[in-house]
Amino acid sequence: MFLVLSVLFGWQALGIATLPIDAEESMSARTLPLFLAVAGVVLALLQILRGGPGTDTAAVSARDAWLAGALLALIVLYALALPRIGFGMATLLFLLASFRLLGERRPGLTVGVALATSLIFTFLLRVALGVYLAPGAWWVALGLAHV
Amino acid sequence: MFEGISNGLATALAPFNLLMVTAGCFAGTFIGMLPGLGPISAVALMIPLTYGLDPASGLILMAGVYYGAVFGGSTASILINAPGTASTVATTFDGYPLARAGQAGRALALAAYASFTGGTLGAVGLLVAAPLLANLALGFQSPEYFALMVLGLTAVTAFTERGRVLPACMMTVLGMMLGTVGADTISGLPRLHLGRLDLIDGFSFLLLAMAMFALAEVVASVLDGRFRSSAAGTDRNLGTMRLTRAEVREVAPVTGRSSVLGFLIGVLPGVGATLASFLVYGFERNLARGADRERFGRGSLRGLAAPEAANNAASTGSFVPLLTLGIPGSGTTAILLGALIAYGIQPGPRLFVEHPDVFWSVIVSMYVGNVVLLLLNLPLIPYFARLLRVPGQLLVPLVILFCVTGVYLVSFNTVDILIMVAICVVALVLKALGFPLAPVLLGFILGDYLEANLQRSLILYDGSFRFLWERPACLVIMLVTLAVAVAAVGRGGRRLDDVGEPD
Repeated sequence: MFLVLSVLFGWQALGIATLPIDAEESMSARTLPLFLAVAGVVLALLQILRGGPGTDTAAVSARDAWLAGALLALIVLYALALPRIGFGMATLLFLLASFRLLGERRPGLTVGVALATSLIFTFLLRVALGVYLAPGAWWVALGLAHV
Repeated sequence: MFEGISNGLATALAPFNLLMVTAGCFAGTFIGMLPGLGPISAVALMIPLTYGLDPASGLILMAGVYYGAVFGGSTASILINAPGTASTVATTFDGYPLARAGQAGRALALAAYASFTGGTLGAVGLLVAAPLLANLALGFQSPEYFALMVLGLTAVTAFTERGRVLPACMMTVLGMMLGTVGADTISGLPRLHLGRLDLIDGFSFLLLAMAMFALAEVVASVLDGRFRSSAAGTDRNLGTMRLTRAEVREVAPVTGRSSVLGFLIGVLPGVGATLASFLVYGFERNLARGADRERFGRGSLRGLAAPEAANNAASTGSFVPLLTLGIPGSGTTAILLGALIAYGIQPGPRLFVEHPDVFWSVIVSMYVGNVVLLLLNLPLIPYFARLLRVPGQLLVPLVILFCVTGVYLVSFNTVDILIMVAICVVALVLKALGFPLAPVLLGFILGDYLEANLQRSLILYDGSFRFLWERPACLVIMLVTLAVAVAAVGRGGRRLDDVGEPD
């Protein structure tokens, strides 16, 4: 992988634009990237010859791998939801979903912590720090909020 | 120098900065106690908060978080055998057996006293060593800076992670590759942006640090099930926190020795608190005789005091190369370096001339931080320990929310969150394959400076590399670099202790 990355990086580096004056200089914007590409190729080849560095994975269970993947998917959904439903609501839903995903089954605690956190975060940002938080395009489209 | 110290004292003791160091110590202790999160994650999490502060206050806050997290890591190590960071792994060897024997309170108190001694002696060392080294390096120009950057990259690569020189080199190159994306430092021409407007300014340091060291660490704790470990099953009663006079007499010389050794090891770029704690633990075990030696690993007070004093002294020691030469000795100091650069401050020998307020106030704040840790955090340990009982399934999403909003609120661009997730996935894969991540960040930060200084040096010397041997300081630094590289290659195939990544 690193070998492929280095080759692609080198190929991209060859396309770096330089100034006409650079032709007389010993170093241009292209020099370091090209050097790094060559170094990357050499190191990758050495690594291939020596074998992989060994893994640090201490037997990850399929369930935990699924949990981690789902958690990352929730972050992506959170990013997609932010401009649509606004910071407060997106944060509330993200926390509810991730608490539930990781195994919190007490409804009172789940809703209480999620609601308190999103309210405190929104209050701190809006009132204490004066940060403008967009209300969410969907609410604006429905006429429930104004920009 | 005395004028500088008094200015630093005035800045560090300003009410707002006292608040910053106290808040930093508290936040660091709390984050450091969470299994899986160490100083590097704690400091990365603080970056967005420091953007609105002046450089001195921002750095004081981050430094407070740093040693707070080192301190907090020991609490989790002692109480639940779950070191928050690699540098407190050695603490578990004797700390956890003491806690299991019903002496958790004494173990925590001893860890706090040893940390205080290590941190304070380290701060004295920093006060003496930093100006000396900075004065020595005041005449440095671009060629010397270039040589220093090469030394920094080589040292970090050489000492990082269990003698795995090659993977560390690859990660350094990867970091430098990422650093070249965006505008060229000299001509200003955009390069390697793949035609995307988002990449014309290059990758954001904040995004990279948060994704690789904060988000990836939290997700990793879910991946390996660490987030489920909490203090729920441990004894609620910590026992007495008092040490007897005989015990103090027994550990006093140990903490003194370990602090000095820890500081000296911490000063070396790339070595860090982790190796310091393991080395002094081994050193003390070898010094011990008879029954004392037998107790190591079964609840020895000496075995607990040594790594605790060393890792705190080394954390302080790692500020010496950062503040005087601009070389980060570890992943955490690399983040601090990035924060300094974000403030528009060029770290290096001229820091204490051009920004004496920052230079001295950070050093002075270390004393304050150590006092805060001892006087405020020690009595609060039983309450902090209760935080360990907060279930992981609640803590993990809250920390993730903090990471994500930290990045989002800087740019208000949701694409940044998606890039963050992508970088996090890459970091997790690299981690799983056994590649160290700290060199990526070091390569990313130092690469830019290396290129700019090399370019200037070549212009000064008409395109010739003769500055490498014609300038004495440059020659000395390059020879040291060569020695470090040769030593690294020499032990490349052999593994050091399982010390993890320097943090």
